[in-house]
Amino acid sequence: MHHSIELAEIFVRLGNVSVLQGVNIEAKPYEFVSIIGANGAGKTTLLKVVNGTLKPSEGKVCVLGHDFSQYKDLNFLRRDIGVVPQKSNSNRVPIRVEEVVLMGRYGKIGLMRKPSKSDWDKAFQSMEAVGIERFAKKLVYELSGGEQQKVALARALAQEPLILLLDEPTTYLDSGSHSEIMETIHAIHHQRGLTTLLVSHDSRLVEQYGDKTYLLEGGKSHLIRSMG
Amino acid sequence: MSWTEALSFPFMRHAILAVLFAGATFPMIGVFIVSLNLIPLRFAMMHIALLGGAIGLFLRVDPIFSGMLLCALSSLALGPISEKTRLGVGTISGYFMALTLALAFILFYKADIHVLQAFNILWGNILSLTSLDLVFVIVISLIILTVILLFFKEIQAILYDREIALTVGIPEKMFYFLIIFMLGLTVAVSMRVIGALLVDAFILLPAMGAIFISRSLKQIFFFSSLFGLTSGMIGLYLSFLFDIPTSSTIIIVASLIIAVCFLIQRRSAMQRLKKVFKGRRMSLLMFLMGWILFLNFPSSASAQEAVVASTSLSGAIAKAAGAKEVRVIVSTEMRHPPEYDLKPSDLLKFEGAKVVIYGGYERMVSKLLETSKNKNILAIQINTDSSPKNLISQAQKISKVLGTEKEEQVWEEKFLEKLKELQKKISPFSGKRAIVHRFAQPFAQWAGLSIVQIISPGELTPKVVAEAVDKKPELVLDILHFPIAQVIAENARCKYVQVINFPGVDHTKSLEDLFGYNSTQLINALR
Repeated sequence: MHHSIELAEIFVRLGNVSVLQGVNIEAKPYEFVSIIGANGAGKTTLLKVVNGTLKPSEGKVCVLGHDFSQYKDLNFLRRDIGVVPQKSNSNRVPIRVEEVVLMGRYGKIGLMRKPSKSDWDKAFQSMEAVGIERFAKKLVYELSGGEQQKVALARALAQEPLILLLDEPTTYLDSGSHSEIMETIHAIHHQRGLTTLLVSHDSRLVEQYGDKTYLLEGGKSHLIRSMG
Repeated sequence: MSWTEALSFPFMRHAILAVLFAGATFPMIGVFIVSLNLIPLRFAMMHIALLGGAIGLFLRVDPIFSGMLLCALSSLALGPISEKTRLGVGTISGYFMALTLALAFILFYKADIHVLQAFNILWGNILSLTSLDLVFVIVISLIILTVILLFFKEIQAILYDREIALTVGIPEKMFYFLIIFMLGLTVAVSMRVIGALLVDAFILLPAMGAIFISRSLKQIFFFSSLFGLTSGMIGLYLSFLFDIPTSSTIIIVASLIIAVCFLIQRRSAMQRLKKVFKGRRMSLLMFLMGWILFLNFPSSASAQEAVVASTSLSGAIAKAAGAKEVRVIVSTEMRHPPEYDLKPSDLLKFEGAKVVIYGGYERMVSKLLETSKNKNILAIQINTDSSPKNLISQAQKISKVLGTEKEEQVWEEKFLEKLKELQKKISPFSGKRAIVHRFAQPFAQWAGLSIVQIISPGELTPKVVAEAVDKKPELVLDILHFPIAQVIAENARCKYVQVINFPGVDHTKSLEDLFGYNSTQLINALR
């Protein structure tokens, strides 16, 4: 059986800086993999490599059985990869929460087609799963950072992804809510049968959840914990 | 004049149609500019269009076509270049803005193209739209509308967050480049067709107002269209009613709409505003609006012997030729005539007139003629070289058309007498070594100065300045409308004099005044 995510000897240079210098990471189907590392270790860069928005200078990337070097356009694959970015959206364009969550469906709906009732249903189910359905009609920029992060999670889920990539999902949450959102993520991971890759600087936060934990340090990856 | 009468003028019909299409759709491009922070791109496009115009003039192809073609090609290239270099479109636009301007000026210099001539070609005015201009506006409008209607959800995702659009599997780059392409095209066309001033009024201001008050992207597009349309129509109406410059009026109306939107956004201010317009005050406002609506427009002059002159110089020559009624369009020559913001009465000056006199460098005249209702008007192109010999021959040429040879003869005698008198006054200074601006050369020759070097309009090179200083001039004769040579006077430590080619400065009106003013400037500086 192929791995859901397979990164082999990945090197990434951004300008004159070598961010990743030989990273090896594997995630089997339905695995919950955590990657911990200090700020600037290249965690976000790594996630960009996985969803094909950043091309590594060297190395092999294989996601859902597709070798990235064989494709020029990876849009078809991104539709199956849900991403929850770290940054909250600072854009002042007035867009309602429900519209942002529905955006998760846009790739799958295709060009020049309107969202169907089933697309809207899936968006609402995702909002319910994350517990933000009461914000549906609110404008995204009126929400707090933590609430916006939940919107991003709901949007990623509305995509009905096979892989979920999470970048510091607790950044904007108060410490009391950390375990709550992690529980939610973990539950969704199991219910939907996802392969999840979570990056965080907080080792305490992730140690109780992942099947596997990697440490990203000095541009290299080290497997530090594995349940299997 | 009534509404129906006003609509009988082609220029008015064209302006209304342009406002309908551009007003309703160009502000949607403004939504992209504001949301994606692409304001520098709008400035870059203006300079790219200038370079395109310069290339056209250099290669002797239509500069409007080459300007728009270069804009279209650049806007296709800008997106991919900014992606490759990982610099934002804003930064790349700054780079292109500086580079294209520099290249344009080198072309102007090398090909000896007058800078104003290039600007003139690229800057249009909403009151001087030809049928072809209108076709451009309508085509671009339809492209904008179609793209937004067909790809609304993709555009919504990109305006919200480009990265998210990419991660959900939308071909984000393709759409982003399409947006930049439409933006480039719209700015190029609107600058050329409706003028640089209105680019902001139609594109940016309505979008800004809409963003203040909207609660969704659909609302933003709707309100920006509505505001563009409303400010365009109200501005056009008011400018016709009060005979004030059209583009400026539209901008003022658009700015007022933004101010109101800002107040609406701040609810406390809105409540105060409501109190002000309560009860009787509201009915007073309604009365005022009704009164304005039923006012009559200013009528066009209808004297059959009238002569329309493009500038104050053409006007003065027409007067010299014996024309009784001269209607000047740009009454006092501006330093940058293409920026002249036309008002409706400028267009009405053509109605009932017999002849229009122009210098050839004012492209607007040919456009105005095309949009005029008066098809019997005779256009006379004159040589505006300001040597006495040429001025007299141009006056003779016009007098033959007008049948006023006798009046011209009388003027000619007076003019020559006046010149003799002036020459006597400046004779002590004849033979002075002078560096002369090319446009001041006819006056310098007449004044008997010894011209040691002629300076061409455009940017000076260090070599030209050094050579000029080496010639040890006693004075530098520059032109007030387009001064460039003060630096030579400063370095050569000699006198600096600015003369004029267009009456209007210091109450000058006639050709005699022109020579009188220039002689006085020379005498005052050298005495």
